[in-house]
Amino acid sequence: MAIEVASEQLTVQSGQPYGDGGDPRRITKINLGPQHPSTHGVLRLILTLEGETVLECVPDVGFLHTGIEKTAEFKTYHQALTLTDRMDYLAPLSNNLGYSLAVEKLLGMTEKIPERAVVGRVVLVELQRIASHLVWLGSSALDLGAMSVFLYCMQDREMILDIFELVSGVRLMTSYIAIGGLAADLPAEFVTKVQQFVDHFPARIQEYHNLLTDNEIWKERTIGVGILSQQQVIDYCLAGPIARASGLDWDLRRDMPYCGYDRYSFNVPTRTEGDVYARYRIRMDELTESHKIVQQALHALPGGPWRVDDPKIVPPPKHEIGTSMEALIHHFKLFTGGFRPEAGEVYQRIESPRGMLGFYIVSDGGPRPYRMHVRGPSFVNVQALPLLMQGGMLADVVANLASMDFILGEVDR
Amino acid sequence: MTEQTTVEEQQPEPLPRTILDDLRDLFPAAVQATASFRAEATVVVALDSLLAVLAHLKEHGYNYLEDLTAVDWPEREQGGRFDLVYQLLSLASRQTIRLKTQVAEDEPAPTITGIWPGANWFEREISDLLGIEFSGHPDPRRLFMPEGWQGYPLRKDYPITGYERGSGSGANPPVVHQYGSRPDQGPGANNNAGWSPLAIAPAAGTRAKEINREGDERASQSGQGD
Repeated sequence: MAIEVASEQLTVQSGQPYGDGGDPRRITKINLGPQHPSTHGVLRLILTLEGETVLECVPDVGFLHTGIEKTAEFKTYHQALTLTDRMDYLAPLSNNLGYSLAVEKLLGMTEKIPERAVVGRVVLVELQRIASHLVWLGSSALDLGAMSVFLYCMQDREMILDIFELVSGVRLMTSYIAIGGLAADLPAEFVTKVQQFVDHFPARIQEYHNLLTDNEIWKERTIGVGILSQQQVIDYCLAGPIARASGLDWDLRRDMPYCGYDRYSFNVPTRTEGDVYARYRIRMDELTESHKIVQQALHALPGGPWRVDDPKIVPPPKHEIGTSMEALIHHFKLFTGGFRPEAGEVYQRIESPRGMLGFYIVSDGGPRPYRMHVRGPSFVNVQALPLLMQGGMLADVVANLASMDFILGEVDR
Repeated sequence: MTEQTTVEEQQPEPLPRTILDDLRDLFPAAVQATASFRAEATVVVALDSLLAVLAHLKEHGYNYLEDLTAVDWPEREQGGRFDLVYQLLSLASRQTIRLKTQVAEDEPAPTITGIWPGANWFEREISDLLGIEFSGHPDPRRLFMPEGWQGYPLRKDYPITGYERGSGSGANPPVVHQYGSRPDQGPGANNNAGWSPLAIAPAAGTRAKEINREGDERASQSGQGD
């Protein structure tokens, strides 16, 4: 808003503020992206500007379309798991969880998942939420000119990625939460490593607050920018931190609990302002809440089996394959033909770091999903961008983009 | 699939009887079937009363459109080729309901952007990838695929390798693919020369085995087409 006042003053003084023939009402069309660092991927925005005011914003997506839903129809249920990592690549474990829960529901074995897997999954996805929010925090601060926050965030995210590497051998595309439980047992050092992070993190949250929350420049750039009303949130199918920043008190972990979330005590932060700053505060509060859940789940983590004891669904232990004929047969059948859930359709929703993530899987009784549709939270977040942009300033476009926290891999699939 | 009426798990019926009764009473001709699978309720309604049913559900608590997608059933004999699938959620009562309707191949479906503006991109995605037209849609451009793309990738008869890498015979006819209006990519321009990934011909037999969905029949397909 300060910019608008400044340019008006300039008009009064010189009469020719823009140096292009003196018409401040000239309509300009610009492309933001697809290769622009602030678009966090390959998103193209076609902006129509009048001076510095955005009249129209048309998002253009599809640059990362890789046909994941089509590919899944040609993979067995176990194979399709790896595709889910590649959609929301900042929260692959959340995608793994959504997909695994959906297939388990299809198989009717939701209740049979062993306790160690159920609790371990919660520890992992909440760590994933923290890691994803840290990337969001760092990159949105970077977009608005606060570079050091990014470096701090990456440092903490490294600790979480180290934990993922410890459990799965992979830092990003883990495929670790698998159908029937986990892909491998949680190693012995897991609890110590997570405990180290849990002890370390609260001081860091305070540090981020010190850097940004009361920072005058940060507030100047974010307060009152990109306001979404609660009605718009519902009309445009938005959820997650964006909806909670606009006053919609809705969190699937509390309201439609899955994976044993009803056992943990945590708050669902909500605000009513609906602007970029509110979305920032919500995600900051969610860091604290996720930290709480990790702590509780870690203390509740039991020993015992970490995947269902059903050789038709999960592969047999490696050591049995050399000695047991049945194990060898099961292994062979599972990896050549997969398993065949009965015909039916399920929809599984989870609270991903970006909002409601839904997996709709249709089975025709065959070894591959007949149809898999993913309702990506980023998809609806990008759709809502024009609501934020139109009528705002060009300089706020980047603040709005950052606050919606979308991943183009999940938009385009 | 939709004809299944068994409740698999001993969980409370998620659909309040009143809403289902309401629908049956208010739209006697519309409700074609109901099903419950894994404690999820599905209602199949006729296409012509879809808008009325959705508006009624929105007024009676199901105010949140969670997901909208479509499924291709090319071999289905009765009803249309496609299922449009609407996932509705009631934020107040935490109930969900799945609404399905059948659409034939050349039959336009009504847009629901008047009820939920957020359905805009969901419908664009469906018409882009499955080729269902939504009448009255405010922005009926393709969403992911380039303008001028031939075919609808999520249809069951669209090969997973795409047409462009097809051999030019049988089920994989070659399709001239237009990228857009850039002069170096227009008709007649040699836009596949050299670097374009579309110019890379598939090695013989490499992709054919993936075309068949049934795992145990894969061997019989290899070598075909290429």
